[in-house]
Amino acid sequence: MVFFAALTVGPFLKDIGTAMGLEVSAESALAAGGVMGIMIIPFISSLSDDVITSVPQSLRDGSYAMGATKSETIKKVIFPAALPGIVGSILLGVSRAVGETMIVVMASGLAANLTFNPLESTSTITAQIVVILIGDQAFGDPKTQAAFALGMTLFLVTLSLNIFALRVVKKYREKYE
Amino acid sequence: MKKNGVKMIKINSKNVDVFYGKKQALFNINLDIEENQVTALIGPSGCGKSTFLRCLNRMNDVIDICRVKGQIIINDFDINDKSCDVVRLREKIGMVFQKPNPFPKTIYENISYGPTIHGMAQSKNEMDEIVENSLKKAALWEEVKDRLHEPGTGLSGGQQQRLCIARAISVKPEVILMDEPCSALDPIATAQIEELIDELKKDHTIIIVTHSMAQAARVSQNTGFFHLGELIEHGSTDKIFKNPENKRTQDYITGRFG
Amino acid sequence: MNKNKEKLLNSRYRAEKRFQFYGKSAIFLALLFLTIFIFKIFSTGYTAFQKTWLIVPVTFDAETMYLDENPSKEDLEDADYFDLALQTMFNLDKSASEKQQNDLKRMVSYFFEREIKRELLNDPSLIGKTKDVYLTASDDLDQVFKGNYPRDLPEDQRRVTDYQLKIFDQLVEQGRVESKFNLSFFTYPDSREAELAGIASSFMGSIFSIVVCLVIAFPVAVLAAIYLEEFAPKNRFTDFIEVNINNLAAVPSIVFGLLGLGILLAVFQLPRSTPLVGGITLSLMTLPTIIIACRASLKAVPPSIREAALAMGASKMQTTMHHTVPLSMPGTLSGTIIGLAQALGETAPLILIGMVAFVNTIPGSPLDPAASLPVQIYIWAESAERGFVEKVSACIMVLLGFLIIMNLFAQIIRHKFEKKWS
Ligand SMILES: Nc1ncnc2c1ncn2[C@@H]1O[C@H](COP(=O)(O)OP(=O)(O)OP(=O)(O)O)[C@@H](O)[C@H]1O
Ligand SMILES: [Mg+2]
Repeated sequence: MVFFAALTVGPFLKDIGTAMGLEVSAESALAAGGVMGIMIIPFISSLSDDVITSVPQSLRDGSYAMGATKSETIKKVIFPAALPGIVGSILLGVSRAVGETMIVVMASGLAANLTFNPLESTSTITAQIVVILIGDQAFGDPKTQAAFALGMTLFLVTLSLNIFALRVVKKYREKYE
Repeated sequence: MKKNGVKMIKINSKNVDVFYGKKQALFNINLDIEENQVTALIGPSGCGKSTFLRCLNRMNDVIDICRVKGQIIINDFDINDKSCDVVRLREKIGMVFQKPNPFPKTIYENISYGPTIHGMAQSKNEMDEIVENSLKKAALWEEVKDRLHEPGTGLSGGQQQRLCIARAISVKPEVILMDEPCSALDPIATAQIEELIDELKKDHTIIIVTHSMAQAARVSQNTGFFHLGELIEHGSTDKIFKNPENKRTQDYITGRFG
Repeated sequence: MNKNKEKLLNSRYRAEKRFQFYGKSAIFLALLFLTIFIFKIFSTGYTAFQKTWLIVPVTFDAETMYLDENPSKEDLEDADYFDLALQTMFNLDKSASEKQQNDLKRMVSYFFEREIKRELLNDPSLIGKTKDVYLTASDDLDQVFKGNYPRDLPEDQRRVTDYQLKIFDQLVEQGRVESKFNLSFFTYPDSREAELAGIASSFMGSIFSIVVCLVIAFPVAVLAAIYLEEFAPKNRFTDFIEVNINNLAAVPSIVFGLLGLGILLAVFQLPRSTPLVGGITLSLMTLPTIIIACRASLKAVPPSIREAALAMGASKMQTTMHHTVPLSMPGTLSGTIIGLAQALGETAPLILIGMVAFVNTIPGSPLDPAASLPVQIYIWAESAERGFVEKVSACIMVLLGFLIIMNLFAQIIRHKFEKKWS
């Protein structure tokens, strides 16, 4: 899904950038990040919505009965109770989106340059993999091997991200349950 | 409690009707609650006891389809009036639920929740004091004083219920509503809580819903009997239990009902 | 003291208002993005559902087709329509130079020969007569007619020549240009020519892939979930499996594409570019999603139900199959549909296993090479021709339609059949 957004929202972000006097390339890290950020909104919000509805009504009642306002109940009771699930859904959304970033970078300007300027064109791991593998290479080819190495890097990065989040959630649970 | 021989009325409900969507759950309830006394609400399941109790601190607002009509006057003020501030109302009228519902936080945080949101403590010391006093009043202090910073959900059912009572009294409410507070508890925990209720009535007005006739007789001074959404009879517990006016009341109390 | 309270209460209410404001602005922003997204897609895409036709008089002259007096059906099939078709186009301007004749020919799609042939096959009595025939306009003229083409560019920067525009305008004036619903967008396979390109091949490819994915992922996932939730002992090993399933759900899809490439294609030598391989790859991706959904709904069945069945003397197996699993089905099914919807929108892994190849036939089985809808979008988005721009959006609309229907379906299943345990 991220991909369709890239086709439409990417140029839109670029227009906004231009309007603000910034030279934002449609393939820049900023545009890619922006598109990703926007496109995982529905994903994260629907997952988190499930988590939040599953917080038992009795907790809400308990808080309201103490004279808490709605926002206090949300901030101090519902949100902490739902946090592990929310963190999980954000993580899921982000790592899924990473897999689609290639499309954001697809159209042109696949510049594999190392830059810390978020406005310049960059590539992403995913895009690199596709670029390398899109032809028919033999399997022993060093290029193919490079692509698999990139894939493994991507896998390891998301894996450690996941494990890290799991740790955080677990610590949090220990404290509150 | 009587002042110069006159009963002090804390809550005065007039012509209260409650609807869940199209279904009417309470019909024209007129019930006065005496200050610093325990009032028991009894009646068969589904007769509207909880519904009435939830009217008194506007907890029915939380249920979308629920509508309340009529007047409920507390301290000369109609709480169903638009100008009534529910937050302030609920601060004054605490509630303990049928199932213990401690927040998934530490014991300390459970108690300090109310005082924090209502800004009752200026310092950490003051808060510690409130927590300690509330827990002592709820007869839980001895059991938990060494584990204040452990999760409240880790306590036993009876302890959790007392934690909820401590939470309710931490904001010094004038009235405490209890909806079958002992239904999940063993006889010992029940006895502890009954003792506690007796203690609490010095400072608070208490309304308790119960299915146990014995409990109503033990703890309450006044009793109201509900049946099919109507208040059939109410008066002093002695009278209701010894010589009820209404046949249905008598049948229910003697266990010959339905 | 009372004053302080008043102050505090006021500030609490202000906090409440602020909080609501944040919430509302977040929703507003999300809706704004959604509107921009939908609006852009619709505004560029809706024209793709219309196709421009040139209505050209064709004289079915037997001589031009090298036909005898009374041709049989086979004769008509085999006849040479190319000269006839060319002649038809040249007749639009009898005084055209050779270069202009070439321009004339380029005003219609290269299917024009076939379109004329079909007309005659439908009605062989047309021989020797003249009839108006609908010919697909070239994509450039199509874009001109739809107003998407900048006519005021200098000629050498346009793909339409001045001469073509002149003839086209004449035709428009004579009412010989018509815009009709673009059926071929749904029935034709992909093509290098935008006016002839359709989504039939990628559509079938998507359907085949999803079916393969469902057939593999659903049973495996449900069985795994039931085992893990109901039967497996709780030990370090099952904990480890659980953590790994959660991790798999969060792995970027492209990694699954690599897996498909490295194992299915390289080791098992399955045929490249086929929905079979695509479906298997997608099923790897969908598996954790379904397992998680199924386990969550199994978990939500209260233990009292299991205990009730066990107390009646049902075996563990009977309890699970008669009570727990049926009760968990709504949640499992809606999770499955959502997983499939995700798989349907997936691009990266399919590109890696070669489903990005140009396929101009409609696949008849999961073993025929095919594209898929999202990959089709990718292919078209990379094409430079202006005619493909609207196709990209139109294809996104079709895919979005599917995704919305699937999600709606999942929602309905959930709300209709799921029991709320309080
Ligand atoms: N949230 C609700 N939605 C719809 N109807 C409700 C709701 N809560 C209660 N009712 C209905 O209102 C009537 C009174 O319910 P209430 O919970 O007050 O009974 P109760 O006397 O407390 O019963 P119990 O002793 O079993 O707790 C019942 O007929 C019930 O069906
Ligand atoms: Mg009740």
